Amino acid sequence: MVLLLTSDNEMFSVAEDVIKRSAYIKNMLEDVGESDLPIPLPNVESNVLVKILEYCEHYRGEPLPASDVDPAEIGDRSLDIADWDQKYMAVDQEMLFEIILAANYLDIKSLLDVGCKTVAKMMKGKSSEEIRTLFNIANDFTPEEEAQIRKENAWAECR
Amino acid sequence: MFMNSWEESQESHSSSFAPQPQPSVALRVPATEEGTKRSTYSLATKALLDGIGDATNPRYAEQLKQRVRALEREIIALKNGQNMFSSINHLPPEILGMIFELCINSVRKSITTICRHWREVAINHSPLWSRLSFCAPNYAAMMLTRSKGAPLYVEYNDMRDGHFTKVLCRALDHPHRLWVLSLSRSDEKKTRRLKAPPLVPNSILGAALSKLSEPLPLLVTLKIVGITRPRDRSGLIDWVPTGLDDREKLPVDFLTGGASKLRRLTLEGCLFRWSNVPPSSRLTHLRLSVSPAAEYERPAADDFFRSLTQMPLLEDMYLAALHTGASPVDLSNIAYLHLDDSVAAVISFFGGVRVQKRSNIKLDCGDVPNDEEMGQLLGNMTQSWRDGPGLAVRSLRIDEDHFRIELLREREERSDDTRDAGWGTQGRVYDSYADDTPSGTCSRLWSINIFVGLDGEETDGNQIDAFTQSLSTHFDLAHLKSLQVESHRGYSRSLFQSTFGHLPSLTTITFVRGSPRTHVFGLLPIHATDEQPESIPPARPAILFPVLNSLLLETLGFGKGTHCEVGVLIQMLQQRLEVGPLLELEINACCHIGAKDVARIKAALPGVTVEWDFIHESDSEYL
Repeated sequence: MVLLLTSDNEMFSVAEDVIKRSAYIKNMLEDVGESDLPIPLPNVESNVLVKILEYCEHYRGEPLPASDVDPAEIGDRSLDIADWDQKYMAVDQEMLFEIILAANYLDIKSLLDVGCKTVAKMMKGKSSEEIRTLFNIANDFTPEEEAQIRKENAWAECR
Repeated sequence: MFMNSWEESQESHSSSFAPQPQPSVALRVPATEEGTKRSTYSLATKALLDGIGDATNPRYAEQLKQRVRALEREIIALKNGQNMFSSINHLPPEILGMIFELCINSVRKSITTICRHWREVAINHSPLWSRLSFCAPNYAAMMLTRSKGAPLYVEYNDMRDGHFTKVLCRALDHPHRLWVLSLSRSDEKKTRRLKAPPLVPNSILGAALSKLSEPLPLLVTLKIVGITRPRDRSGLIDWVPTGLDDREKLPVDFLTGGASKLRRLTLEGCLFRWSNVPPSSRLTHLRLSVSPAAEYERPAADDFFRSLTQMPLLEDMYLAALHTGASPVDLSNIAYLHLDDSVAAVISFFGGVRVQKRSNIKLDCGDVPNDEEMGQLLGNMTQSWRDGPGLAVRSLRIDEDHFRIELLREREERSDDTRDAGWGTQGRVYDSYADDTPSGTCSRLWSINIFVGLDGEETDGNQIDAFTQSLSTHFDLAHLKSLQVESHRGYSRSLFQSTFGHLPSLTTITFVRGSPRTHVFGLLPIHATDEQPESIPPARPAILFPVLNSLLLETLGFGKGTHCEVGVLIQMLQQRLEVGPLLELEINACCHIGAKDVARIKAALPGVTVEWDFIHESDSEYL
């Protein structure tokens, strides 16, 4: 078992094969060897770690995905998300971004990928204004910057 | 951040907004309510509003203008601060950039217009800009600049349009950054629309391509199609090279710098030196084609096949007009093979090449093989597969000037648009079939597509008839399940019936194009329409197509006022229902068949599933 200490001082005891989906923890265990000391996770709160462990538990024993990207897919990568992952990601925005941050910190590539895809799907097909509303973002451009943007976008129109 | 900005604002404006002389014209200041609100205004604003202004004084107007600008800047600063509370902006820039990459195609224009933070992240995330868009020269140049050192994806399909020469040369100026390079000619329609675009100057194109002799450490995909120049600038469509010309050759030292990661290589319509290839042992896809018209020195068979053995991962290969002979070689990993060459060249190819896997094979020949050639071809192919599980001919296409044979694996569904796949002018999806082909045979025919020359001459028709007659010599037709006939002018009725009419497994027949008169009525009677063979007693004539249960009619041209033709169709199918298991009738995109006709057919054929794909009258001209 591996002990994990969250930023809000909660201790988790996790099976090694579950948490080894995190490349960060896996590398740490390989470097340090067996130890009774907990691994501190100063960037992860307990409620987020619970979600992360739910993911790792679900994919326990499954091979880690390959990271080789086919150039033919760049820009057109499928935003398909497995059913279970979609349900897993059905959380409020704040938790969604916390999961992404934790997946990045713990180096869980597949979870990071699902998180990014979930956000990309939310944005897909939306106008600038709709995206601002979606993420509670204000338009903070100066008139000069807006003029420059208009110019660039005019270039982007195909002849 | 905004505090500083606000304080600065206070400081910078306090002196300029000092009380001014009493204006001669009173300003219209809103009364009580506004006065109350004013107490919450910043000192600078209050000073300006409370001060004695003169509406006619240009200096005062300028002060107001400046104050408005200052406030706008403050508001922007406040909004900027506000945006930092949006939870998505808690993500580090590299992750936000990754998200942008995932949806870049649908939000390319808006991604830099959301807020300053997003714009900064997007502009600095170089992969977002590394897939150059050749929409407009300025935009392409801007993308190239923003792509910084990221691996470049250059796909330029309009080599005749010189508007992008500069940016293209700039991109090719970084050979070490090239990840994907695809250069091809423009499509006909676009060229026509653009009328006469400036051409990429030969010298510049040559200089740009010469960069491809430098090391290309990141290059994964290289595709060069038809870089040849048109002979006549007014003849925008003529792209076929008609002779050896410096302009049509890739540089002599092309790829000599090495491209160790290259996986997909396509060289079509351009002349290249084979000795430079393969640049990579990691090649998985190879498409090579030179124009048959070009006086091109083809590679020696030994050299060519030896180099293929240096590509152990090669799984998809298309060779057109390239083959000069065969040398014994095992292509152990090939899954898709497409040869487009003369019958003799194809026969020769399989004389030497052993394809160990049960590959998907497509052969396109400019001529229909005669009886002896067909025997030789099948013999060589069987030999090629001698260690494999055998193969089944999946589709056979014959038309007046073209012979195609496809040998596809079970449930093969490669589509037309598969990138660099080398397949798919047909793109048809077939039913699966049992994988019980006996080892060592290649003559078991499961499905045939016969395309009888759409504008064929009588002599060509005879050639097809001759080939059809020879089918039973070369293939075991007893297992044929599906037959498709595409023809405008019909098919020899007696030949069709004698070749296919008595097959015990033929359950599906598809008729494409032509008319119901020549197809259905002519070819599918219950009994032979011509003279019966002597072996069949006249009292009990054999049923033709005895197990036919599915009839598909696609793009057939029913005549206007289809009442009679539909009536004949119904009558015919009713007769067939009495003797055979007709279960399904599909009518797709046929002219002049309407809902009423379909209802009539359904009512007359109980138990038969009738599917109808509607086509509007106005679309019928496209058929």
